Amino acid sequence: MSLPYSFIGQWTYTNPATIVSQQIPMTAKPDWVFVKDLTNWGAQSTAANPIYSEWFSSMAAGSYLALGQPSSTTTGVTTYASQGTSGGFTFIDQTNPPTFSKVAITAINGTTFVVSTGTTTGINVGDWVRLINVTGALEISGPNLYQVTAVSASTSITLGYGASAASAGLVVANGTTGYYQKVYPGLFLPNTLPVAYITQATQAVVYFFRQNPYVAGQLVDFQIPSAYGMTQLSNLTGKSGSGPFSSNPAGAARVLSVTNSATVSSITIDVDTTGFTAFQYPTSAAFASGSSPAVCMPAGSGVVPLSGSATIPASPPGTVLSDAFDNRSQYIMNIGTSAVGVASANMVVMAFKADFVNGITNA
Amino acid sequence: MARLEIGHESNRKVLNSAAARLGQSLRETQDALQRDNLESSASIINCVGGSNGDIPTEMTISDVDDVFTVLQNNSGEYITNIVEAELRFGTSPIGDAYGCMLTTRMIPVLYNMTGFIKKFQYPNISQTLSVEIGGANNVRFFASEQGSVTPNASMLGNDIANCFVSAKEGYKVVWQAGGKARFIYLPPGYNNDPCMLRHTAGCSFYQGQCITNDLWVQNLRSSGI
Repeated sequence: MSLPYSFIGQWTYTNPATIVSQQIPMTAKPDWVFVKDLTNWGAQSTAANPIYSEWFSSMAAGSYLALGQPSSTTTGVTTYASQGTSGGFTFIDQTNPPTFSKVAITAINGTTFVVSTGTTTGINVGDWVRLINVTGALEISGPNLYQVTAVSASTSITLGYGASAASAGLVVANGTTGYYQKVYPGLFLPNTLPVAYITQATQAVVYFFRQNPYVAGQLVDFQIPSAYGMTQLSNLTGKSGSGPFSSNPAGAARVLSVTNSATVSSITIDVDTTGFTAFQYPTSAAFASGSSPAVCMPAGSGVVPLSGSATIPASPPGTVLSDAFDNRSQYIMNIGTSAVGVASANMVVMAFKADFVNGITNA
Repeated sequence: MARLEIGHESNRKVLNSAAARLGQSLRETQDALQRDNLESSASIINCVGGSNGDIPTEMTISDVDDVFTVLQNNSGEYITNIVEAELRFGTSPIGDAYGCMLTTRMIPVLYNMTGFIKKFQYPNISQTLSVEIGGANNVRFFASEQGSVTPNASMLGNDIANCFVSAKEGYKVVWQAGGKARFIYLPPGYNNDPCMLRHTAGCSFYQGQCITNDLWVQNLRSSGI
């Protein structure tokens, strides 16, 4: 008897006017995935490439097989086949994500956070990148992850969340040569994030270099090394003493509001920082001589208030775990721009798993 | 792990072998989840005492003392008690200590660290684990090949080791009642197997993990691995 594929699932999506890669969550690693164009299938007046793409687990990551259709159907030509080795299907296990090669850059603007590079292959808006050994701007090199907010093909990528922090007060030097590297971050949420900037205000605003996982009502804490100035905000959890003679702050900071827009990632906290030392990134040379990152970490009540408000916590609280207890890592099939279909098309994805995959070697 | 006494005798060896491997896989998965949890949300201290020109540098005794001081400042309680000196050649006492969990790739760094005492140089090893490789001042080190490494994440693009230094009760694991660990065996005839050709075996568990106090777990990052 034959052993059929088992059906993993079906998904649909509509391509935007400018196509971008699609991330399809899956419950298992598929052995066969196909994507079909429901809008342009058989439309003789519409050139569409591809209208059908597929991938088998025996193929390399990023590759694809595709069918396109010409704008007019002539005798004997209804579709044409193509294949490629990049921009196709890439399976990602987010608990053990793939690593990517580092890519040379020629400049980084410390105000606009535009990273000049001749290679933007495989980089899309929303991707995370790391900056490595950026001459003149070592303070933004290393473990920090930055989220891409714009891509100019073969010219530059923009790390817009950094630019928003710069508008608020972050000062970093312009960088010259170095590297960027695409990275998939861990997805235990809420997680620790490097801080980009903290305002001096009665309710301080904390900026980040990528979208943040925090929610209103949550408690957060900070570790601000002396090189960054605002050390008064460090280790708040251990600062107790509520009452008429309590210090500011007393205990971990509560998140009052959260911003996660296309270019701004920030939280407003219930700590008055007007009298604190100004937050400032160390210079490139100072960072290179030895410094730890300034970080914000979850410190309690991860998903509350369930029934409270932004300023009054739920009582009793619904969840009082302290940190990254929500594991959102999963299997993802990334469909790149060579396989994702054409602009504005309604697409359907189907994925299957084989009972076994055998390579047959003829003697 | 209990031996399985199910199915045809010819299948039992295979099943018992599978059960042993699944047991190993289950425990390693539990460890990996806890590792990923700490990697995600512990606060971060870079090693800066080394001389390799990177940030973080390779771990040195001053970095160990720094993280020890941070945990002391945060009222972190020791995990292990002092290993007192004894009249044995080549041994040194170990102080009250916090625990540091790290990758085995850090072993050469630790062995090159001034002040590091290998486990076989302890005055008494009766209160040690097999994965313990030694101690330095007030931190004892436990290595695993599953330890946390972030590729290319240093200032210069080298791999960094995330070395989690924890005080007592710094983090915890929560198991849901009834979901601690299950071995699931299905005889032939299940799961699209109408001709009853195949057994299946698998395991499942539910687990949550969290840091109980963000001040008591520090990610001491080191390069040089």
